[in-house]
Amino acid sequence: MSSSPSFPSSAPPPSSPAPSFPLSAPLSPPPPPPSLPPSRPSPRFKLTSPCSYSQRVIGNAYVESLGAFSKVTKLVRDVWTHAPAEAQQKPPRPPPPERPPPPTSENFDSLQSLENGFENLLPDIQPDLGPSPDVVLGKAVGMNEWMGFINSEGKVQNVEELKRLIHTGGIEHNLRKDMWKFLLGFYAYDQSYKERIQTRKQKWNEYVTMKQQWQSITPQQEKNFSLMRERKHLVDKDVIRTDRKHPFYKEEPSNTNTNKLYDILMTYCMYNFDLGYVQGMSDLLSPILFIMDDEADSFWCFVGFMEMVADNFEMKQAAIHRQLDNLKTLLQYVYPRLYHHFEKNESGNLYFCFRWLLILFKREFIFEDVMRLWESLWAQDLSPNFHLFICLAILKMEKDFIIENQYGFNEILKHINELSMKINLEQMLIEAEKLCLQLKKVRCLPDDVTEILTGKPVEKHEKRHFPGKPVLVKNSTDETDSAGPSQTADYSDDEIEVLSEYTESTDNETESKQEKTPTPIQTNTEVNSEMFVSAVQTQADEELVVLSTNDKAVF
Amino acid sequence: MDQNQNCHKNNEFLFKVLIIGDVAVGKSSIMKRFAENVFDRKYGSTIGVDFKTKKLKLGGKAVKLQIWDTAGHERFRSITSAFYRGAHGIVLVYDVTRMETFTNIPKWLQELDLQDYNCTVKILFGNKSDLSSERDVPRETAFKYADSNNMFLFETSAKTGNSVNEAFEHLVSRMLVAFHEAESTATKPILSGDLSTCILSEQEKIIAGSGCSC
Repeated sequence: MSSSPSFPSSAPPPSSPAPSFPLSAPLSPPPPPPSLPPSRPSPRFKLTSPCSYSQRVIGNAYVESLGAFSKVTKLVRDVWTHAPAEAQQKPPRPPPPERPPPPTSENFDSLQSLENGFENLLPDIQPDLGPSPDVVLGKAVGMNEWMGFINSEGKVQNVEELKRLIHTGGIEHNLRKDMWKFLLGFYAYDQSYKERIQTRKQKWNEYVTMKQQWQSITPQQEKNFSLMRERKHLVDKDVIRTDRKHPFYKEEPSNTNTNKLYDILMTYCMYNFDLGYVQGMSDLLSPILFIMDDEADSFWCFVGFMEMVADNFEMKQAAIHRQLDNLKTLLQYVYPRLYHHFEKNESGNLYFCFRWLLILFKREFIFEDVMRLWESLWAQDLSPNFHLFICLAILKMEKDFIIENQYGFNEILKHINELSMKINLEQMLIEAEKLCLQLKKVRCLPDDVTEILTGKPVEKHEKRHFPGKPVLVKNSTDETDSAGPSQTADYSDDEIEVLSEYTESTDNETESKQEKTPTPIQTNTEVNSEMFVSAVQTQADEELVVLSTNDKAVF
Repeated sequence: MDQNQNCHKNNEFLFKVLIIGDVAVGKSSIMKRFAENVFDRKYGSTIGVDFKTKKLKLGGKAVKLQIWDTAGHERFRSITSAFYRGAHGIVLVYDVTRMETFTNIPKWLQELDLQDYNCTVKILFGNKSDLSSERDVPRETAFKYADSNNMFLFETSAKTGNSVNEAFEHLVSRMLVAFHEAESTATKPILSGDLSTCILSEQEKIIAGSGCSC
C-alpha cells in the first residue's frame, strides 16, 4: 500500500477555504446534552408497576425539583452574565470555605456558583434504605480450608460455601493457580482428579490445534486477509504495552511472557473469530497469565472470563451502554444528589466510568488488588451486577468532594481518571456489599432497581393500593450508613407533592411492616402487590404530570 | 466590561485540542511529550479518554491548551466522540511507518464532518519520524495530501520530541488567527457561541490559578 489517501465523498474539496472558527449556531450547533440518551425515555413516564412508580417519583421528585431550580438559576445566570458591566464587576464568589483545594485546576465549566448556591439550600433527600448492615471481610482461603472442600475422589463439595469464603476473603496467592481454574470454568467442580487430568490434556490439545491454525497462515495468505492482518497488528501493539511495569512482563527486549500474551490473544481470535481482538482484552488476560504461567491453561481460563464479559467488547457496545444506564438508574436511586450534579454538568451519561466497566477496574486498582477483586466478583452470588455496586462504592467515596468543589464536565472526568491506583479495594468491597445487602432489604424497591439487583425481570403485578405516604429521609451525615430508625420527612410543599390514596389493602400488616427497620426481605411479587401511590409533580416548565390511582398515566 | 474586554483581547485564551488517529500511532505519547516533556514506551493503550493541560505564551498571548487524548479503537467511538464537543483545534495523527494509518486520515476527517467539526482548525502529525529506516509513508505524498486539504503537516517524533512543540505552536497560532478573524467579522460582541469558550472568565482564571495580568 503506497498510494495516497483518496478523498471521501464528503471530504472538503482541495479548493475549500481555510478552516474558520465556528462563530454562530448554524456553523456549530451545540451537541445535544450527552446526559440524555435519546434511546432511553424519561423514567418519569415509564410506568411498569404501581410500586416502582411510587418509588421512582420519590427519587425523581428530588431530581426534578433540582432541575426546576436549575432552570430558574440558569435564567438568573444568563441575566447575570449578560448584565451591564457594573454587575459583572462584582467580585466572583470566593471558593467554598473549609474545602480542600481542587487537586487540578481544570474548572472551565463554572459560572455555576449561583446555581449551586440555591441547590445547597435544598435538603439532601434520598430514599430510606434502612440501616447499613455490618460487613466484615474474611481471611484468604488457604490450603487447609481448600482441602476441606475436596473429597477423596478430588471433587469439590459444598461449592456455595467455598464461593462465599472466596468472595469475602479472597484466595491465598499460591492457591490461585488451582482455584481460578474452577472459578473460570476450566474445571467443573464435580470432576474427580482423574477427570480433571483428562480435561486438561484435552484442552491442551485443542489449544495447540487452534494455535497452529493462525501460525500456519502463509505470508501470501496474510496479504490477502486484511482482517487477520489488522488483528495481528492490534494484538502486537497492545501486548508490548500491557503491564510492562509489572516484574512479570518487565524483561526486555524480548519478553517470553509478552510473547505468550501475544500467542494466547491470537489464538483467541481463531477461537472466537466473530469477536476477534478488541483493546482491553490484553488487560483481562494479563493477571490470568501471571497466575497460570502455562499458555494453554491461561487461554482456557481467559476464555472462561471472556464468556462473562464478551458483550463489553461487541461492536455496537450495547452492553456497555446498558451497564452505564443501569449504573445511572442505581445512582439516581441511591445518590440522587450526586446524579443530579453529574446531569447538571453534562456528565449524566456516566461515560467517565467507561474504563471501569470495560475491563472490570483493571486500571483502577493495583495489580495485586485486581486479582483479589476479580476472584471476589467471580465467586459472589449477591447480584449479577455486583460490579456496579463497586462503581457506586467508588462514587460514594468521591461524591462529597465532587459536589463541594463544584466539579464540572472536565474535572469530573479528570478526577475519576486520577483515582486510578489510589483506591482502597477492601473499603470498596465492604461498601459495595453493604449497599447491595441494604437494597435487598428495601421493601419497595423500584422495579428497574430490582431488576438490576437480581438480574431478573420483575413480573407484572396486580393492582394493589397502599395506604400512607412513601417514606423519605432527610439526610444527616451519611446517605446510606445511617443506622437506627429513619427520620421521615413530610413532602407536601410546592415543589414535591405526593398524594396517596387508600383504596384497598389485602394485607393488614402492610402498614406496620413499612415502618419497621430493618424489614425482612420480601419477594418482588409480595412487595409489588402492596403498594401504589399516586403523585402530582410540578415541573419547572409548569408542565403538570398527574398520575391517577389507576395503572394508567394521564397527562 | 472594558476591563474584561481588555483582558480577553490582550491575553488569555483557552483552547481545547483533540488528538485523534488510528490505534498505536502515538497519540498519548504526543500528549505526554508536549504536556510533560516525557516519553514512556510502557504507557498502556488508552481506554476511554483523558486530557492534560499546558500553558504557553505565544506572540505575547497566554494560551492554555487542554489536550484531549482519545482511544483510537473504532469500537469505542460511540463513547469517545462524546468528548469531542467544543474542540477548537484537532490534531490528526498517523504513523509514518504504517501506510494504512495515513490512508485512514480521510476516514477521521469524515468522522469529524459527521460531528460538525469541519470548521475547526486541523493539523496533521506524521508521528514516529525517528524510525526513518521503517518509513512507509513518503514525505512528498503526505505533504501533497496535507496541502490539498488545507492542513499543515508536521513530521513529529514523540520519542525524541522532534517538531512536537513547533507543531503545537503552529496550531495555536492558527487558532489565534482564526479566533481574531472570527472576532473581526462578528456582528455581535464576542461572548457568544463557541468563541466564548476560548476566553477564560474571571472566575475561571481564579479557579485555574492564573490571575489576570491586566
